Amino acid sequence: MKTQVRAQLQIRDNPLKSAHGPADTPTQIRPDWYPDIWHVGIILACGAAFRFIYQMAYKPFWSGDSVNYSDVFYLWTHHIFVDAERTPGYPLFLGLVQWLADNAPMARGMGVRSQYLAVHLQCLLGLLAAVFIYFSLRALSVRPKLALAGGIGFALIGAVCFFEMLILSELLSLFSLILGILFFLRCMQEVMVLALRLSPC
Amino acid sequence: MVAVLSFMLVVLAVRCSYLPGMRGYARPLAKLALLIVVAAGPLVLSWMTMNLVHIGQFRINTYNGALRTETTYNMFNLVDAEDRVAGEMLWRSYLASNSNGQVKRDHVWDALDDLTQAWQRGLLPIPPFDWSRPENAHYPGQVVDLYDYLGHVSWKLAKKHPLLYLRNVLNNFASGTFDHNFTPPSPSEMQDPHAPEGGSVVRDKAFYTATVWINRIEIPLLTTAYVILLAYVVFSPLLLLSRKKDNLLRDGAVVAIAMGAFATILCTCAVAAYFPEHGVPFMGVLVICVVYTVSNAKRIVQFWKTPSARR
Repeated sequence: MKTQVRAQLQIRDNPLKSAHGPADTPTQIRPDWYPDIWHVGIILACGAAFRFIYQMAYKPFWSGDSVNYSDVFYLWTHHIFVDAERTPGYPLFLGLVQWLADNAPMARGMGVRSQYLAVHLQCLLGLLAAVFIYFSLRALSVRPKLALAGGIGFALIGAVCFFEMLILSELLSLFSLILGILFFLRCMQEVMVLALRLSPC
Repeated sequence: MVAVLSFMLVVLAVRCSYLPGMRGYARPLAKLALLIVVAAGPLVLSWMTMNLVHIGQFRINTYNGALRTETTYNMFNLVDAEDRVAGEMLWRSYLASNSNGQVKRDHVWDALDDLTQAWQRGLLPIPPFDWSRPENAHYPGQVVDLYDYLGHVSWKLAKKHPLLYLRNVLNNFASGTFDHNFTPPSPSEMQDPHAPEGGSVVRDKAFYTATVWINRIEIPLLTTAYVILLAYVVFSPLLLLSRKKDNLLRDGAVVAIAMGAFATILCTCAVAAYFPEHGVPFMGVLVICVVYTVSNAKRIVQFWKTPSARR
């Protein structure tokens, strides 16, 4: 049903295409994915190339505040839940990283392998965030090439790449926020589709 | 952010219900506002409930008391007589760290050792630290009492001198939120931060220099993007109250995101010191605002050129 409404919207937006009749509707919708895949590839390639500079320039940053996050998870592994100085998202992320790196959680620090893995995963989250920016912009009906520029622009923000190297919560917050915004904008799109379906044509 | 997004959706729903031809959108928008609250609420509430069970306090974190001192960082000479001991220590650390035009709002951490000692000697008006208490069995959980006391002292100061407090918040907003300088640490820095193996975090000097230049180049770009975000906030009533229906929902969505980011930033300034790193999670919002503005540049120019379009 939603596909039908989307097809109807597409025909309304571009009356020239409606002249071909309903038979070629599927071919009108499906090819839309190809530029998206191509654009996502370009964003990922640009982002990865730019991140190479930061990966070459720095080792993971362990700062004074990093301990606060790793300690929360360490205490949880010992069934101690009285440390609520930080919210649980980033300590859980560090827990996942330590599990993946096969490092036992420790007090006042984290294994070397875990720290490198955390930074690499944050890099991946930064790249994914750039892709989400692209799709968020598409959800706002921004032209594909401009959305591509937006995605590349985000992938090339040095501050984001810099914070990917830090064992701190900023990057995970950024990723979660962008994911939330993408869901929000997709829901807004659905609202528009739903309202159009309810309103008399 | 969630609260502001939901509020903006409700505003949009009300606006749609008054616009002919847009009434069909009002109910789905109100439902979406509810959906956002229902999706985010349980996560926050379950964490707060966990804290209620384990530390006996229904709250998101236990740090916020200490952070609140950062909003009254230069007012500790004005404390009440009962808070004189803590006030003197915080005033000393303020004077030591805020000289020659340098502003350090988070000097509470410099004074924490002195404050902890005064607390252990029973000089502060809170129950002394006691290792036999259950929350201190494996971790000094009672330190929350000290943080909360400092937060209480700061809150009293803010209520007693609201203009000074507001000036601090506005100064923090004006100086902190426009600052997008993320200078990398010097290669000679070995302690905070340090590499996983110890020593400097700088791996290669040439690439390090490149990142220093990237930072310099993007400072004005990020500040411009932030000004565009603020423009969405300032002109939000014009966008939302416009009689033009074509792009109301898309404009409303961008305004809601910009308002959410702005409200979070402003709230941060009101309850703690704002540092440039606090703006990193909003980098995506900045990009969305800039690209959406470029995408609608023609419409925006037309909007300002034609007075009838603004009504």
